[in-house]
Amino acid sequence: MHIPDGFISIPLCIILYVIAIIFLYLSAKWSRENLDEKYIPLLAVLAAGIFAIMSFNLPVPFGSSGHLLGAALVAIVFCSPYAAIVVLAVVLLIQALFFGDGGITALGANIINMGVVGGFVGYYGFKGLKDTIGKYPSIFIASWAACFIAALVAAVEMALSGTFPIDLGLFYMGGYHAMIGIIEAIITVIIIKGIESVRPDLLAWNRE
Amino acid sequence: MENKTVYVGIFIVALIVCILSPFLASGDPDGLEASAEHINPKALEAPQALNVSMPDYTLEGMEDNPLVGVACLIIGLIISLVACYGVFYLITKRNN
Repeated sequence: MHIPDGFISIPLCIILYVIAIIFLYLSAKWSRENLDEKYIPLLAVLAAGIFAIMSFNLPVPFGSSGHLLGAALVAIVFCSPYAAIVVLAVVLLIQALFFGDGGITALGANIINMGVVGGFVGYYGFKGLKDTIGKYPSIFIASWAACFIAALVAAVEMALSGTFPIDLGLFYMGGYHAMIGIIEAIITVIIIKGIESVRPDLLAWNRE
Repeated sequence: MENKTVYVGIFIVALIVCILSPFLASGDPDGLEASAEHINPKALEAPQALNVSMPDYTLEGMEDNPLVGVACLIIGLIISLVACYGVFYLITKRNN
């Protein structure tokens, strides 16, 4: 879902950069108030893990492929979308600067789509559903929705830029990412289940 | 299980993913590229603003060698680890 250069108009790129910087400021503020240094190694290895898993595209039907975004994972582990925004921003910046995966002009858009939308939908989806349908079903649905809704937001940004018409953009981006979201959901559940089985105290909901 | 064991375990899994990815990952276009192929294929030809050192997780002229891809991914893995550690260290420094 990494948007390259040329897909988003320059005025919209600037607006999205400003919005991304505001969310990064809020994320830094949250991190300063809620994290202490003992969680830094976990965030760092999760960033490394997200970088690695993002490189591993799995096939989906109709000739496409997809990978984990990871924002829902970090947001659910830390019970906050803000930790996810910083982690995703770091990974997306590295991917844009060194690997050309996502354009540098579209970095603000990519941080908003994958970090902000992914983190907020992932965490609040989980929080809103867990008492009704249970912990792991809610993680599955929230992380699927994080990928799916992030793709719809990307389609709207590209429609505003004149790259995709809104109807076809929503249809194709939504259709492909509805399938890719299943990958996001399965991997997120597996990783959180793995962490919970060995160190449940690393999951923020078990510390509350 | 100790913290260090958990962190090393996650890192080793990430490292294994980096080693396997150039051999096993799907080469099909991702969801955005596949959408663009249907709707506006010309958009995929837009010039990119940066001349990056490891385009598409490989080196120019060595795209056919998956081991180069493994090396690029491991470099990215280490940069991500160090950068994320550094950013959160700087953000939370005032707490300590």
